[in-house]
Amino acid sequence: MRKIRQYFHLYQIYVITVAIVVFSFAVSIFVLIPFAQNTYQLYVEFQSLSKDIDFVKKKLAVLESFDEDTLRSSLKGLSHAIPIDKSAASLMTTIERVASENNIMITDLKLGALGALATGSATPKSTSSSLGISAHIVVSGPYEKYLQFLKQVVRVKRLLQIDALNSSYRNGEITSELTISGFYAPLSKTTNSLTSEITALSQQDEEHLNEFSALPDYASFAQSLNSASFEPRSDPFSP
Amino acid sequence: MTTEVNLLQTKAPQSARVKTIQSQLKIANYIVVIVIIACSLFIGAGYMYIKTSSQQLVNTKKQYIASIANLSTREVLLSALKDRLKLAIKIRETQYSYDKVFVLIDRLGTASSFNSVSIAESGTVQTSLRLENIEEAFSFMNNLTKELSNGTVKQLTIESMSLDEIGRLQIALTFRANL
Repeated sequence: MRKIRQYFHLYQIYVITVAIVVFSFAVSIFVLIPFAQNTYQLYVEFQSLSKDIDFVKKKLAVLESFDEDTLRSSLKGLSHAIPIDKSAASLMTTIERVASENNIMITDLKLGALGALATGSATPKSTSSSLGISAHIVVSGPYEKYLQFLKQVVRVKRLLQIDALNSSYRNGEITSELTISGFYAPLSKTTNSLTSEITALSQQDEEHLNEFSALPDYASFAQSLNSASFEPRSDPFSP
Repeated sequence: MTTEVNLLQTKAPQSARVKTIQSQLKIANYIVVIVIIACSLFIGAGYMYIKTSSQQLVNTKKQYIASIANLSTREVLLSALKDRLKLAIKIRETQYSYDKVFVLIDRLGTASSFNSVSIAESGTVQTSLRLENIEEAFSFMNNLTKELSNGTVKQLTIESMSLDEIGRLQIALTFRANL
């Protein structure tokens, strides 16, 4: 026993060194490294949270930069160009008004593939997320006026497109059978999540909006019949 | 008064080299302990700082999200407006004014020279023209060649050509207008 004590006394520094090394190693492996990993993980989460904050802040700034009434009136204006439902009345009214303004007589007007008016059961041609409703019309009138009619029918607020035409000319008068499509797009049924991105309107968007609002609206009466509500509803079954 | 003298050495004699190693080990031990403590403090302080800041950020985010939720009507309006505007721009790009085709046909002959014009959904133009005399026919062919070389008329097919008893030329054409 005395010998052991003597040895310990002799090699004290080596024993302490070994103990410190073992202790440090154990602390590093079992405490420091896991704790450092946790801290790093927390740092990564902190970074992503900072990005989220920047994003949410930006989104809030974008939303605050708009006036609700202006947005509502712009959307209403645009829904005259592309109504939320088929709005056959606005399609017919627009065609009739453009024709009468150009002294063109409509001798026949048929709406094609309507389906049930209130549903999407018709299968008209579509452009990406918009749907179309077509009208077949027969018009007649002076040649020059007819050209004006063709030019004007695609420059009205209710966006129209001539799909096909068949014209015959006799003694300065033209008779033409046209297939004209109008477009509509129902409102989106899904709403954005709170953290989904939203960007402000670009300069180009503003210009396009101004361009659309400057187009002559021949169907404001028909459009007002089915004015849409753009308010988010808390109760989807409320009338 | 004790007269005993301990002549036994309490420690084995150490060389100078061993002494140096031992003193260096001592310093190394201090350094290791200090490093371990410093690392612990550093990581601990970092953890505390990040934890506190994260908590603050979480609270800020909650406030922002609450503000956004209050502006949900604006968000719905804005996204609906943007969607509809995108759609309207797309439709506007595909709108085509067919009066240009009539203007092109006028350029080929005279306004009164065509009998009929049909434009299919594919964009193919079918027209039948009546040319009163051979001079008009020459002028028409010249104009048609010009339009072809300009590229405004493409994929031209002369479907039929007939001369009636009083010298009038009836031509039926199919082409695609590139205006």
